[in-house]
Amino acid sequence: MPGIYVHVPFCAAKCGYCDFHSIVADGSFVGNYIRAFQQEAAYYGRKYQNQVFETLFFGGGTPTVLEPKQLSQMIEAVLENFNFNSGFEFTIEANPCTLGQEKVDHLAILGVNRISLGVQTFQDNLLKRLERLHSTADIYTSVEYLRKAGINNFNLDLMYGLPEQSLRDWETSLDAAIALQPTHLSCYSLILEEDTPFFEQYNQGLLNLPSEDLEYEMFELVKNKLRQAGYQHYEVSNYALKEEYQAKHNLIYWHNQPYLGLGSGAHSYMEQSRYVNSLDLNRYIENWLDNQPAIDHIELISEDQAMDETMMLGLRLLDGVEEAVFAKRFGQTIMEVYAEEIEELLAKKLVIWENGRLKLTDRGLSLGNHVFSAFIR
Amino acid sequence: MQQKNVRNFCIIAHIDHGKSTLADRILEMTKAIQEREMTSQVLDSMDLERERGITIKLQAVRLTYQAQDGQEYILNLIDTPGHVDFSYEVSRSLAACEGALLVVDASQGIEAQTLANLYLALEHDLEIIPVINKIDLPNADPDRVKAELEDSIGLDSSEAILVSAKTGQGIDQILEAIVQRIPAPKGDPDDCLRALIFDSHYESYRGAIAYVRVVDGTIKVGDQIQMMSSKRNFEVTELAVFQPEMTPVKSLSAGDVGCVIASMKDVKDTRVGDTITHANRPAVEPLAGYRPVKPMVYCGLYPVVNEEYTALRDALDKLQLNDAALTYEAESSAALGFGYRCGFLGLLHLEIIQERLEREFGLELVTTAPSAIYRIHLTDGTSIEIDNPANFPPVQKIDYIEEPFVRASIMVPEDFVGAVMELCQDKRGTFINMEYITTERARLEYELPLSEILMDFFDRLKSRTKGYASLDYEVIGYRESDLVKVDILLNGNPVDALSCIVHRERAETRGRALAEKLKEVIPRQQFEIPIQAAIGNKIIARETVRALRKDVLAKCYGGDISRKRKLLEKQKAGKKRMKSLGNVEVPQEAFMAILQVE
Repeated sequence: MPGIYVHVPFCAAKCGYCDFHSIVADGSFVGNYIRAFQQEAAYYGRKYQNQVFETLFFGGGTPTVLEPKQLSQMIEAVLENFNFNSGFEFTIEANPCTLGQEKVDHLAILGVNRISLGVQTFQDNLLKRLERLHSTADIYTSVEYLRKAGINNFNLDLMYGLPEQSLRDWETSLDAAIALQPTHLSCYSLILEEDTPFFEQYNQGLLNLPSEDLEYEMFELVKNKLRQAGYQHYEVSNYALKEEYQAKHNLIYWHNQPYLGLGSGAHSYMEQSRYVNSLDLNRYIENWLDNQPAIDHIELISEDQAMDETMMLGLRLLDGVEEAVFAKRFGQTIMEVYAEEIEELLAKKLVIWENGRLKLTDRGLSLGNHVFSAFIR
Repeated sequence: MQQKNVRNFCIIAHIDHGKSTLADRILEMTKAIQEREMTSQVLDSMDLERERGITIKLQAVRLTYQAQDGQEYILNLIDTPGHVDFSYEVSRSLAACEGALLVVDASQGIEAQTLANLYLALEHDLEIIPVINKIDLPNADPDRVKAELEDSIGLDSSEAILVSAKTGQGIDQILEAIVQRIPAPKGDPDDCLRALIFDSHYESYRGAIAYVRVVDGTIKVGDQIQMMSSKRNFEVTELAVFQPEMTPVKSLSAGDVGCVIASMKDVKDTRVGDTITHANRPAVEPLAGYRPVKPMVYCGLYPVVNEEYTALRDALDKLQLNDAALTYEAESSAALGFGYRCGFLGLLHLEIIQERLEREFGLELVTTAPSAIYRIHLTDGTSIEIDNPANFPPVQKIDYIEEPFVRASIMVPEDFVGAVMELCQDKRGTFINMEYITTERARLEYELPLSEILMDFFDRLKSRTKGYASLDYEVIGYRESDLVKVDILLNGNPVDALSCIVHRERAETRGRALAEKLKEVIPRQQFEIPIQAAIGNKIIARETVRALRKDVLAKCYGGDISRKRKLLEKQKAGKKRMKSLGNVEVPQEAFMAILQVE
């Protein structure tokens, strides 16, 4: 069953490393965006009136920079126009300094049952280096708000491989995160994206990044520490306290299942095609106020491509790709399609077969790109 | 047009002394092209030439000039290359001319190659018109250059014309001097036809096009012609001159320069240096052709993808048509598969061919390090010549080895004399002579092994002298040298394409430097890769490319899929461009690494 992703392209400020689609906008502009969004939700609601959706994810940007009233308008637009499973996972992304008790309570009332907090690190100097607006203290108060509102299912986003960050720094952050007992942790190594201030600084030699070896050790440290703390490592960068806490919305992506994206810049994968809503906010607003879809790009996904992507995405999961599921979906077995590639990867000890699933070995996990790219034809 | 009103000339100049700009101005002044059509440097039509600022292929342009004596003249300008590698082509264009403009930069003075080309021109009995260019530059010193002309070449400096090709100053004097000083061509238009092919190229619709200088007789459209070397006959379908665009003419007669098209389908039918005559009234003797050139530098060219082997051969075929100096034969390497061993006049020639193959023919190539031809005397009394280190015989079979030496002439401002001497010592050079051309400039003569020149000598010379030094060299013969073969082992396996032949005293340093350089250019892979340099069984250097430990995209969510897939595709394509030796992926530049070691 498909999920719905909603993009809220607004932030309180832009961070140096971030290349996500977002702007810092004023109230009237946001109002127009919400009106356009309501039109879009109504349009796709009609189109998919017989479809039941499994998850809802509000991402950004920073959805929680919106006022409670604005949040209600956007959330209600989705809930009124689409059908969801009972007890569906409803996640919203939030930054620590954008939350107050009132706002969190409000979100809980609107049906939000999972929050993903953009914590990044527990060290104030590094938070500053990342140009984050929150402090370590904000993280603790935010988590208290969540608990008080009864939202116990929450994720903390953490980053490593940061400028000036030592292994010790990273361990400190991890310990602090574990102490908060989140149900889910995402630990990402910093990726330099083009067109970000960090990329610019890097080119000028101003970004003192950890060496590849140190980054590898940081990756090893996450794996070991979180496994020891009882977390299940289920995707390259993701850990869950129990299987039921795995991010169901994200599993839809990794299982290469369909999803509908709403809002400017959101991606959809529906009916064998992947398309992107216009990144141009003005165009998005103008079109939808006129009840016209605003799409930048459509890509038709062939059967072969869908197979490749199923492998590329599925192998990110530590459970790997299930032979039977693949065969049922595509009418061919994994070995029939990729015999040669798999032989080579097996020989290099990057993948193994286990209980009818093809998965990454521990080595394959660190060198995942060599595995994923083997399946791109 | 009467023969007495025809002038055939070329321009001799050092790179950067302004030959192409001067040619542009002459074209403008004679209205061969309108100013507004001028793209800078019209004669250099290959992209590569314009980028590198050098002229590789010669071209001929017919200009019409109204002289001060009231008569109209045809001036045929034949372009010449200006780099030491191309002296063979220079002599081709000189053979088609009666005179030459000798262009010297007013701020730089005469350079080694200019001198070499000038001597060639004098051998061909050409009338020389000295032109001192760039007199508009603030540091121009025409008097010093005049003194150089008199002292080093013995030209009458009062005949030198001062010009600025940039501003157009003095161009009119050049045109008058061409008319007045360069003799009209001789040769009887009614005699048996003899036309010298000085260049050719291939067009897919017309076939081979021969650029000729008619020496005797007259050639007309419809004539049956014969190639004197192959005795093959063709019917002339088109004759043309370049103004500078191709303009058809009905005939070309003694003294004229133009091109002949005769449905010659095989590139080998228009061999440069051959003489064209009439089939029914052949000339008795062909014109003096060109000495066949012997390549001095060899290297292996291999397609990155084996399937491109045939395409590489076709491309080499086409290039050889207008570049007789290029030779090639099939070879195979254990490491690189099937490719061609190619012979070149020098390093620049090699680079240009390599770039043309990649750019004009879209081929992706691995180029192995250039090699000279070594003469190896074996213990059984026989000797062999090798141009590929892979063919180096086992040490116990070798009696002694000889390698080619050159005499190098280097012109350099006096401040850099010390630096140049140091470089030449470093390159196993023997000092022969030094003379001061003027008080500020010296000419150094050294004897050096050619193989040392092939190793980035030119680049290093330029960098040590801030670009002021110029170099010319000629091979003077073979001499005994104490040489050994250094092998490179990747992951324990010898890679034939990475072997090199070096002097025993330098073998260890070179081996170590090579291993270090390879460590830099070979990317980290999934396992540790030892790099070893060895002479025979003795390991002389060892480096390690450490294993790649982490390479995995941290994030891949709904909005990332297309982008991340493209990223992985790119990564995969990059890997494909590398040569896979055993299980080690080696990038193309590794095979040239030997040239970049200090």
